[in-house]
Amino acid sequence: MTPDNAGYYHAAYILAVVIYGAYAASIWMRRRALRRRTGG
Amino acid sequence: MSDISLRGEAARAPVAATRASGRGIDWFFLVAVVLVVITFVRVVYFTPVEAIQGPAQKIFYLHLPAALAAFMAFGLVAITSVLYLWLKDPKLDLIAESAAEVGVVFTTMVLVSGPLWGKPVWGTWWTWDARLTLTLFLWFVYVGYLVLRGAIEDSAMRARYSAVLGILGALLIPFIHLSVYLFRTLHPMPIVLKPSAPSLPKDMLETLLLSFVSFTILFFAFLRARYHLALDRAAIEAEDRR
Repeated sequence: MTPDNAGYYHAAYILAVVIYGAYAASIWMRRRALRRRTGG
Repeated sequence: MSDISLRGEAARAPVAATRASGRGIDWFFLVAVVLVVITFVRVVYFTPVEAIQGPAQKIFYLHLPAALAAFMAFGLVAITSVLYLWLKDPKLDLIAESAAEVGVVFTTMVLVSGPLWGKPVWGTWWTWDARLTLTLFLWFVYVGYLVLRGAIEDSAMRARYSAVLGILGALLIPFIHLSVYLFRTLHPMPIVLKPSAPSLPKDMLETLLLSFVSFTILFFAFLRARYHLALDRAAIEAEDRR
């Protein structure tokens, strides 16, 4: 019988969105902070 | 002036003039995001559930491409670090820095998704087997690489020291890949990245290939964006020094 362990797989995909999304946001925020500093 | 300091001066100067341009939409990144969304939809709705492992096996389509992207990232760190030590082009150092950071993100994904797959399938979140332990070491080495870069103000010295660490860290990659052959480990033998044909059903293999493509493009999109950030930062550092 196929085990019911979908919770783990859902958690992994949600964490993927969080990790990759947070990294994309961190790059965007760091570039924005640099631009503000230089007035660009 | 010694040869070393001459090289150091050369390493400090040329990035100054280069600023990454572009404030609008990053189309490359947008394409990567769309491909990742398509991959997720295919994984959820159009890929069969593996009978023995259950739905948790679908973590495979996140875990394996993230590992491959991490290996590409740290391989790139090593290659650009070797080239930096040879050519002393500061842009090579900035590519290495960017690839290391992106590699740490993908390795984090490997280290997070692995236990979430391991718990339902192996019955444990973590075990100190060769592949897991070496992957954790790899993560620590490149986190250390980034910390080292933050701790050294002189750009030429920073580039030289981190290039050495970046090259040494990448030596772990072949051991991680071959760990299933070299050591006793809970990880299965490779089913895709092996000399013979992949041993996966067609539907699963197609999803995995799509996932490889999507996350590889996401890797390059991150790398490109992070490199532009590094260029901007280096240009500002150069302006501050004047």
